[in-house]
Amino acid sequence: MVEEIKISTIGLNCPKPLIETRKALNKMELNQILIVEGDHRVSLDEIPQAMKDIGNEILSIDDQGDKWIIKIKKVI
Amino acid sequence: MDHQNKEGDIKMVEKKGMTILLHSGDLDKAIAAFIIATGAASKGIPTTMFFTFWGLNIVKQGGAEKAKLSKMNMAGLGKKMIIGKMKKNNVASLQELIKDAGELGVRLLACEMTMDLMNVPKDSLIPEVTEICGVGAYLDAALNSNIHQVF
Repeated sequence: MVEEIKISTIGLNCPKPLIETRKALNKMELNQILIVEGDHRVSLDEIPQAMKDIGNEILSIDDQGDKWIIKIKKVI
Repeated sequence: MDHQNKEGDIKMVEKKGMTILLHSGDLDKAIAAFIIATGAASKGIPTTMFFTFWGLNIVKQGGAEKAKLSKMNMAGLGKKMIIGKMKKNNVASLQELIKDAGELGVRLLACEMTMDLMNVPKDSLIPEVTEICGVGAYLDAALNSNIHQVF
């Protein structure tokens, strides 16, 4: 089993980064880690909030200014 | 941000579901409806959409392509301009959002009465439609929801 899955949402606009994150999580198994890369600023707030709503764990948020990387552990 | 904690706590208690009643066949309204539906489904909110009257056109095969703008359609010129702008800004098309809604498990209910009224056969609907039903099924979903939207 691959432990880490990476998706890029670079260039995508609202609400696609969140949709793609959710679609990727739906295909994953428990305890796998999703690494989402993107550059849509609002999604940097929206994705962690959505993960909180769902109950998945945010491992890290790396805001590099022109892009960001969010690490999520699928626990639900 | 500070408000996120508060919102999160409230949602954990109150999160039930959302229903969207799409009565309009206008492109702009359908896009708004599907953006909200896919956003909600992505946040884990069980989401149901009910397509009635002109809204049924959106879930007919080729319907999303044919839909017009509610304002400034200008014989299709305005629509062309908006779609061009959406592409340029990487905003998902209505067709893409409908596909996403299907993949995210949004329930798409087609109004049986409208199908009768407008002679829409079952096989002319898009595959994302999950049920053909009456107002009762929509109301059952609404009873189990705490967010309701009409477009």
